[in-house]
Amino acid sequence: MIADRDLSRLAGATPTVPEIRRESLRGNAALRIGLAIVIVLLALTMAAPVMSPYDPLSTGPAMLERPSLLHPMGTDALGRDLLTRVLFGARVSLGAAMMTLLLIVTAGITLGLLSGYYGGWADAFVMRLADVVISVPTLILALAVVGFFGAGLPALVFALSGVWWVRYARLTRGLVLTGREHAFVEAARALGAGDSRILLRHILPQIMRSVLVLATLDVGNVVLAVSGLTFLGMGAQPPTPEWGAMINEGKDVLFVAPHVMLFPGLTLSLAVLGCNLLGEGLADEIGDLGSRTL
Amino acid sequence: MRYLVRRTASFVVVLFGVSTLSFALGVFAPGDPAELFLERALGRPPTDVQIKEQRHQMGLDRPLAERYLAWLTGVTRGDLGESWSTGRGVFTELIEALPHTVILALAALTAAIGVAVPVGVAAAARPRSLVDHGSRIAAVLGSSLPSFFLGYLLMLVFGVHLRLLPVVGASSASHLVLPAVTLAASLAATFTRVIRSNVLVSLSEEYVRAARARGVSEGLVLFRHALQPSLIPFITIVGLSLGHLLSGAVIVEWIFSWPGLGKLGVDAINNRDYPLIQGWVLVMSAAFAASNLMADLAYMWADPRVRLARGAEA
Repeated sequence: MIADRDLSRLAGATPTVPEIRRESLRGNAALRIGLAIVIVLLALTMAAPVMSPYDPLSTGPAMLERPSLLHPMGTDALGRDLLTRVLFGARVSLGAAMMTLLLIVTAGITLGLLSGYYGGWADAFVMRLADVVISVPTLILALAVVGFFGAGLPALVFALSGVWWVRYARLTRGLVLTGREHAFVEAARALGAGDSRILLRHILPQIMRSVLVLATLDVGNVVLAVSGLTFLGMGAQPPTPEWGAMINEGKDVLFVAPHVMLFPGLTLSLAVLGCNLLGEGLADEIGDLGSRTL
Repeated sequence: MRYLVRRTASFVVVLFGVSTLSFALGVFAPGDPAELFLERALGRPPTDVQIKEQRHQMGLDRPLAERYLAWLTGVTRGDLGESWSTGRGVFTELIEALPHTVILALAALTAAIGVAVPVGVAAAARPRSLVDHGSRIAAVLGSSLPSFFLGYLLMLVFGVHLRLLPVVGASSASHLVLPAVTLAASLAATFTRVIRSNVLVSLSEEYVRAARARGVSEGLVLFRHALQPSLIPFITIVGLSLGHLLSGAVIVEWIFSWPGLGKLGVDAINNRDYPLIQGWVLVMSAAFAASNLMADLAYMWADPRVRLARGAEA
């Protein structure tokens, strides 16, 4: 679940000039397609209660029915309308992912500021903790945390943010440390600005931009992690509609009614694709903006 | 040599940190492990006397520092306690599952590299060609398809419709194909893009022009002059993707009932088998750290500049 795109970025040696131009063009296309996918999905999600005549939890007599006009995605093993569940599932899957990302960013920035600004034992403690947390593969540590603290969506969100903050904290800390040496920070200090003013007014905006880039690139990964862990039974419990959980339910009837797994799977893949494209496009835009203003 | 020692020392520090972390997980977990254990063993809520006795037996009534020391001593001896669900040693359980995960990971890695190298080089040789665009689209799709969706898709197509491959289990070599392909998909996507961009850069180098001017065949130019220098940064990427591989193996093993470490861990969590979860985190992290160490050493060996610089330092 660690960003593949980050890896390829790390690896790419200095790109040639035509390569750069083509990359930025593609970035815009990615941004447009990604944005379209995400907006359509969000709109459908909002409209779910209005659009669907069914309740995502109410069972019906028609079980494992193939897609029809009445049930465009068919029904599942309990006779529930799949389209309704996929739409309501978006709220749970995407909502939990957004919540997780928000917590990751908050925890990362807070710990990074603490560590970079106060230094000393706070710095030592946070950074050693970061070293340990990063030395366990993310998904595995999140699973273990859920294993000890019990399954459920809140536990899952808490576990994922508890293991995902490290890169954000390291980035923030680094920016605080280098930020102190910027000419404009020295200028502000010379003008008599206090530490907290410098931190909030001059260093934090700098940090927000970089953290935003990292976060936009991570959205797809977080969505995948939430659904993946729920698929393993660690997140939302039945009968809650959630994409990972629905794929898990679909696997039991995979060979008799593959549509029960296919539709939530396709929707999840589409959402991740949209987030990845949007993230990459946005990161390129913000990245460009960042390098222009500096 | 000094580098080797320093690198190994940091490996030991990581192991120490992770064993502390897995001990801490057990300490901070809500609920009384003794009560949980008894409830499972007896099948009904235990009495207070029983709980007290069990706490003593498990050493839970001893001071925290003493328990921590005992845990660390156990770790150095390979004694990680006993599994609550099977009663067997946690270390034995984990060691028995390890080879399955190693085989699966190596198979996936080989498949991913086997696809990425030719496709990446072909895409770099003709930028904006059909191969280049096709591989880019495949890469975007490959990294967006969740493994737990792709796995079932492959199962449907190859196991049910075509009846070519077995779907679950690990009793023959053909059982390895579907899980390995599922695990390899997103890696292959990343690797292809990395090979492509590195080869593309190498192709604009002077020595490539020189080779072409000397009349060296295009195939040799691509796979020798352009690809070889790209393989050094590629080793780093392979090293960085090992954590991804281990995490991915958890889901893939569970889907295909592949009896490796990943499935063992998920089963342990579903059974709330605390000692097994603790040992699992430790062994998975050790595997992760060990493979990173190997990737670093491979990098050192592959790049004469690094090898010589670090050799001179020692």
